[in-house]
Amino acid sequence: MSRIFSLNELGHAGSSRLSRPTRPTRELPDIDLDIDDLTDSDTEDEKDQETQLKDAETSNDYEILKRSLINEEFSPEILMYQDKAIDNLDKLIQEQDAVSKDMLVTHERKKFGMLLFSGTDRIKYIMEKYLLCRRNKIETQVLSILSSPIYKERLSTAELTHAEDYKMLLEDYLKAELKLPNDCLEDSIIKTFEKKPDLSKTVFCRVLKNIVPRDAQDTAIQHEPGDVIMDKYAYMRDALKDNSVELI
Amino acid sequence: MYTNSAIRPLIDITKRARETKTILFYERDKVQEICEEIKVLKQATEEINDTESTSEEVHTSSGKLCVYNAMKEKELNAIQLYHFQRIRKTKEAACKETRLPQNEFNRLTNWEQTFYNKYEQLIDNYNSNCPKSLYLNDELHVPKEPHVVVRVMENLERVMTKNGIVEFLKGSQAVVREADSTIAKLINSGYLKKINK
Repeated sequence: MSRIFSLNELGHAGSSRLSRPTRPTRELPDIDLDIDDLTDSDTEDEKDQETQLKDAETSNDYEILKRSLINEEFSPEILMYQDKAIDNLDKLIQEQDAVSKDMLVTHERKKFGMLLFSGTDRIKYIMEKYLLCRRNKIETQVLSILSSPIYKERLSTAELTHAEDYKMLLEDYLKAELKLPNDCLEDSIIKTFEKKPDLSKTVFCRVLKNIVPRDAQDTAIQHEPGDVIMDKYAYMRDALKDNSVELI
Repeated sequence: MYTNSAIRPLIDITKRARETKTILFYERDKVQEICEEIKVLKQATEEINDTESTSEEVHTSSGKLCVYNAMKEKELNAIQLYHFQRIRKTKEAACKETRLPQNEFNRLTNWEQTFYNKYEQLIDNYNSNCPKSLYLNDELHVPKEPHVVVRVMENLERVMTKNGIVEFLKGSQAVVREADSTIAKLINSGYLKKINK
């Protein structure tokens, strides 16, 4: 016999009895109110500013990661790892999960809990996609990444370990499976697995800051923010690093 | 010399392997034929380079060298394409939640089976070094709703999810959070099946 579990039952599956509060719970304020404090409005303003700053930083991290994901997908080479954004968003996800779990318990706040869940899922999706995109790129270009100190610096510790282990695994497999002379193996088979990033690939970019076109003789002519340009990646590389353009 | 007669079938098999979902048997005979020919070509090239000859013979031998190098390159390319395709398929299988079925696993060579096991371990190590709240899976899809309705395919007792301990009864339906890593694993392993509305 089939049965549809409701969210309340899933949430209360571990507890022995259902708890249904009869009135909405109120959260106690953090600050200790004193008669003198009631007339002082600076504390509230400071708390508001702090919350706004924190919210701004969080939305910044999310925007930074989203932008980095798009740049990573369209760029032929591996870019810098956004460790700060990933760490901050991970902390946010954990806090938000705890808050939304509590909200689901109360009937009145269930909808807000669901909204928080949706938000958390979106952030997780961006983080997962970013890490997977980088992992696939590392495995495709493992030999060229490990032979370049510039590319190695752009990897996180986990990615560097993964790249080194993967390279060893690939070489061991090819040497064992293919009974070929060593020089053929090294110079041909293993070298052909070395996919170098194609820097001459054409990319589309949106201008974020004023930049002078590459072939412009007059520096007064500039691409303005909002312009969409198409050029080889090799020429846009420096502008991408300076955040003067973003890949689209 | 085999060259095209050996390379063509291997390339056709590579193309066929790209289109099929399952892993095919390893073409050991064909690969060995081509490897033997590469060794023969390498020996012939070395002999030509070692022998001192007159200017006429130098002209002929440089022509021979060109031909031998071109043949060797074609054959190495064919081998590289074939093995690259097999590595890709093995990696895709290792990234999945469910283990490869035994009949498909037996189609891999011994070294490929070792590669499969070691790659699985590599992925587990990488995932353990990533943030714990994430579930890295190659089959990502954009989240549309926070909860999905699933049908339970097998009895599951005491599953620890982020909402608490849940018990799933075979044949029942449940509303679960797909982003929960435990639930995502159960869906990918086939214990729970998503119901499309």
